[in-house]
Amino acid sequence: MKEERDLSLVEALDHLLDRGVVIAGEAVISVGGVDLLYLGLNVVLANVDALTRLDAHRPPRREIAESGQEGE
Amino acid sequence: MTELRHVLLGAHLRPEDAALEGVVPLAAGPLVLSTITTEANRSLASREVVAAAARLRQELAAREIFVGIRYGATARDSEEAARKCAPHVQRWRSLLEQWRGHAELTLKAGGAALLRRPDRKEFASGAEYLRALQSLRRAGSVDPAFLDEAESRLRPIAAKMTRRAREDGGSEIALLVRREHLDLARQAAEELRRAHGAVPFLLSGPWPLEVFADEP
Repeated sequence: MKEERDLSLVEALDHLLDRGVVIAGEAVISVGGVDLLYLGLNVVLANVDALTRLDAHRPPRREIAESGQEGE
Repeated sequence: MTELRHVLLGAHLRPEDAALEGVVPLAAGPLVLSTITTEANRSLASREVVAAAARLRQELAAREIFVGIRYGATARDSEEAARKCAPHVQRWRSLLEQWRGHAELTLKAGGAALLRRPDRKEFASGAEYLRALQSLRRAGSVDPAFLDEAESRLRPIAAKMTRRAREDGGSEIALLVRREHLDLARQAAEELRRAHGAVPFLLSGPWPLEVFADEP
């Protein structure tokens, strides 16, 4: 059932973000014909594992604070 | 006072077609635009906004056909919304009158999106992982015989049908069916699945006019 719900969500998002009539002049989320919003979400959704690996290599919060840089 | 903006979802023939909690209707000539409101400085990539738009779009499509507007179109008020949609309104009205009582369905077959994405942890190197992803894309192409059979099963139900290739290597059949025939379409898909269990495909909908609103 969870797999069906996940697939339904993916389908709903695909239809929302990659379908439909483009209103002329709307360039808020596309550059050079590439839909940045969709691409951005696709990159995030497709690379969660990469983000997880990157997150594992970030220095601990305490060290960031000690260095004087703004923490999260 | 926080400035708001409208995110346009679709264009509807009648006001009652867009009457749904969470939807703010705006007049655009003879049509009604369904919109959701959000803070003007809030990103359109906000998870809450995207999720609300996707959910309401599905609920609107479940009640009557409308022209789906690509996510990202916004307007400050009804005047701006009407002005932006003005070049399209007459064509949209024509489509909505022609296809009232129908719904758009899509049958996606093959394609990387419907196949299990390999787990990076299963590979010793990034290069092997990339090769596996490329293989997945090649594996996504669909036997034309399957598509021919899918079309032959759906054609008796469809008022209009078209087939096209997808970017992920798969194929897609889009069709317009009368709403009272939606269950027949789902039944045809189940019969297709029993006959071709190894082919990954998905019949989904009802959707608003998307493929058939794009046609010239």
